[in-house]
Amino acid sequence: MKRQVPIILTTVTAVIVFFSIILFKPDAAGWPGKFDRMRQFMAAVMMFMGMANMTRVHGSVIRKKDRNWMFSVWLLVIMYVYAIFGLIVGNTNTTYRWFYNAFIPPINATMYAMVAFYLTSASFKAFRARTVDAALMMACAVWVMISNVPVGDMLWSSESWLGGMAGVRDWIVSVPNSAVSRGIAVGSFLGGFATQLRIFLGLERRHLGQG
Amino acid sequence: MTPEVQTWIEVIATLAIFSFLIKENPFYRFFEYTVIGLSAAHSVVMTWDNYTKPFWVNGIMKGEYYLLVPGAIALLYYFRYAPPRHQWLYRYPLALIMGYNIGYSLAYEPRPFMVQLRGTFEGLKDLNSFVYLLIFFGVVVYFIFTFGNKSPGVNRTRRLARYAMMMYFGVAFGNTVQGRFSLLLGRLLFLLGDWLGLVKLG
Repeated sequence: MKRQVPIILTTVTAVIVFFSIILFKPDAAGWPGKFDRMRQFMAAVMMFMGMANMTRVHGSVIRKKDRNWMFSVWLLVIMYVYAIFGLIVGNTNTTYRWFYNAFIPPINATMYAMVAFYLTSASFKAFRARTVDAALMMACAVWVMISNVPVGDMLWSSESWLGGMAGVRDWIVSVPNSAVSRGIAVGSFLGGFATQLRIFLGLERRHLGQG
Repeated sequence: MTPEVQTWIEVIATLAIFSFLIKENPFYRFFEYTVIGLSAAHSVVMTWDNYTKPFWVNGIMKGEYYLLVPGAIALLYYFRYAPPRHQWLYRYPLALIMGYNIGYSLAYEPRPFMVQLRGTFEGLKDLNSFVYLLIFFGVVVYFIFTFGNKSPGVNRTRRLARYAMMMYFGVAFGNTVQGRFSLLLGRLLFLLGDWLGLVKLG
């Protein structure tokens, strides 16, 4: 009941969905469309999971008075106030949008921008061309970075032999890079397909957790 | 609330986040927790407005009563945080969603994969297409023969694939660095242009 039924349910659902897609027209009114709407609605009902998890994690920090517990209080307050306000007025409300625009995009952009500093310092440590592998990686990274900026064209003009730095970069991107990308896609597809088959056959049960 | 106030909040938030470069401090942490809280709330509001509410108003209220069954099962997912005795109930909605995803993938995914494979062998006419095929073949061999292999042919192919993959990671790294620097320039332009007015873009 606790473990076997969900495993059987996974397989039965997979078989039903698979045959509904194979046998019926893929329109919204047909069975594939209905199953898709059911799945979307289930995901929509589960939308409070993130907030529930945050409340659990930060509630525990507050209860234990761990380091920075006051920030956890602030996080829970602002999360619930903003969520309740948004659920009442809707996401198109001017005040709701004002807070969104003032905080979320600039802070996210700054956080991602800050990674530039850490990437630079990490590359100084990592890019020591001790092996052929490391040398190739470093050479390609440097080549791409220089060829993307005007100084690359000044060093080796795109109107000269082989299309200059930009021409070589385009070749790297369109031939070896593209081939590797496709190879990785095929490799990950095969891995994913094998995992799906294992879940389908009830051999893989880790997604159902322990206990 | 005026745009000027918004700009000031953006400036303070930007400087607070950049202050982490010196060392971690309460100023940074305050804005970090603020954005985490706001983002979690925003995702709930967006899901409610774009999925839950339309499903309720345009679906269930208009006669799609069958949606109530998966909706009720989905509620069992909240037993994930119930006392251990009842926790197992969360597996039912998870099993249904996993089953749906597997059925969907088994039906739809093989085709794009086959198209990719076919595309690799099409139009073998110049040196580039043969180099492409060689590297593609090498990478697939690399991922299939992940265990130790004594065959010199396989090992040479895997080495070639490793070199090609290092080139790929190098290009990805270069593009990532430039993407992040582009964002950094955007934030600096905001501080120096929108806020201080020292930089004017044509």
